Amino acid sequence: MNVDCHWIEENLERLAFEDDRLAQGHLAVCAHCREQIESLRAIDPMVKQVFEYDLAIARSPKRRRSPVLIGAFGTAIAAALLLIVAQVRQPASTPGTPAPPAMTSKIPAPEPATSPKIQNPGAVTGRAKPEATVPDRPSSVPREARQADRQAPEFLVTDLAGYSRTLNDYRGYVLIFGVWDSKDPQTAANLERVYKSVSANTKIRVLGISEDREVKPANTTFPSAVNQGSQLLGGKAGDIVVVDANGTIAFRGSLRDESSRLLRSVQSALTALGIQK
Amino acid sequence: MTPVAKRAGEEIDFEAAARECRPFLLQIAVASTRNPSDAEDVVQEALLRGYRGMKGFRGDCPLRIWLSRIVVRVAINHHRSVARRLKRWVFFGDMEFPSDDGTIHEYDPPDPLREFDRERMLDVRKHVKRLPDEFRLPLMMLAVDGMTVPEIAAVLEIPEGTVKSRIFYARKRLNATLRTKKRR
Ligand SMILES: [Zn+2]
Repeated sequence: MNVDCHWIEENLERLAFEDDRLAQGHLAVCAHCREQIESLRAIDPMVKQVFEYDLAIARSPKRRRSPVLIGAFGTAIAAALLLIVAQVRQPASTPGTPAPPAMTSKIPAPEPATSPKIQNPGAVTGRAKPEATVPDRPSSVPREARQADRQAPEFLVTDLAGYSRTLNDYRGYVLIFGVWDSKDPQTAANLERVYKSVSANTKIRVLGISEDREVKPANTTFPSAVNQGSQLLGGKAGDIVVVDANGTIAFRGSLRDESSRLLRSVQSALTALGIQK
Repeated sequence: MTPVAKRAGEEIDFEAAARECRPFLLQIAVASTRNPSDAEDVVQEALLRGYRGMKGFRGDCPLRIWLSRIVVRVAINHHRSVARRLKRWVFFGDMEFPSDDGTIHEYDPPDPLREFDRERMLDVRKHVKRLPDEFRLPLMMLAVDGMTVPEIAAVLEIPEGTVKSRIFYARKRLNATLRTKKRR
């Protein structure tokens, strides 16, 4: 096969995100192709920064929309606010008067008239506020949330974008994480195989964790993260751990195992969790 | 069992689940809308619709994916309706709505990356916003905390292969635009 500019162009999509032995020779001598691939690789980090910038705007307190809108709707909003304040203040200042209808601006804010469409036996009340159902029957959510919080110090990593991740972030998903060992290339290669074998399944998340900020080996595509001094649920370098959707460990294995055996045992752990490939 | 993974027919504490999903949904909204200051409204609207439409939730995907689909739909329609409204009000002339390419915005967040060339980022941003939705959305979603191609495919309800090729097309197009500019 003739590895030339044309071949590089044809295979650009793949080459942009993995190092290829065939391409290396050409890239070493062709500045044009090298620059093309480098600039393509620089796109995602730039998009990430655009995203972060937009996210900061989204999280910032809203300021005035426009002079026109303030003119048109501002008065109406101010009037509505005054009404709300008046209604809320009233019972406090004049005790004995009947309580005003509950005004909530809770999120999500369903229309008071519609009844909840969520099945919630034992909690059918006239009130439509979703949270009104909570006191009747202890919800499983806060308990699980607390549980996950307790587990947080056991598992705390930072992804490449700099976000901290706890097990809580993976609730509802099966998390497969491997702690790859930079001294043993087999561990990253095996994790890559596991990742490829399950990457089509949206219920599964894979994470390759390194203990230090080590550069992920070439030819690996699994999402990676750096351990932040957590216990990683007892996972050590070279370990692979499968955590079910509730944060419970379902399987422990070794990335140093022979590939096909490792894949088989991970697969059977997933099958036991009721997850097909 | 986690409430987000529950199947239809089982009860779901929607409020608790929504509260938990909210930061994620805001990111989806930011990735979907051209105007990030609309993102909060978009999430609010989507949660309201999601709450009303819970019957339609079959439980064949995690709740946050299902809600994300609504967020995307609301975000795209929101943008269209804002654009429509803008056209109607345009005779006022002095409006400060952010334009499609995001060149005007109400709030200038402090630059979290001091090293980064802000001018360049804003330039990239302008070109990202100009991409058609079908390419812009998957590309931006890849920047969402922990989003993977399979998940983007699930949210956008298109095959993974399509997600990949659209992301690649978006990268290539951006790359071409930015390189042409640099040469000029
Ligand atoms: Zn070349």
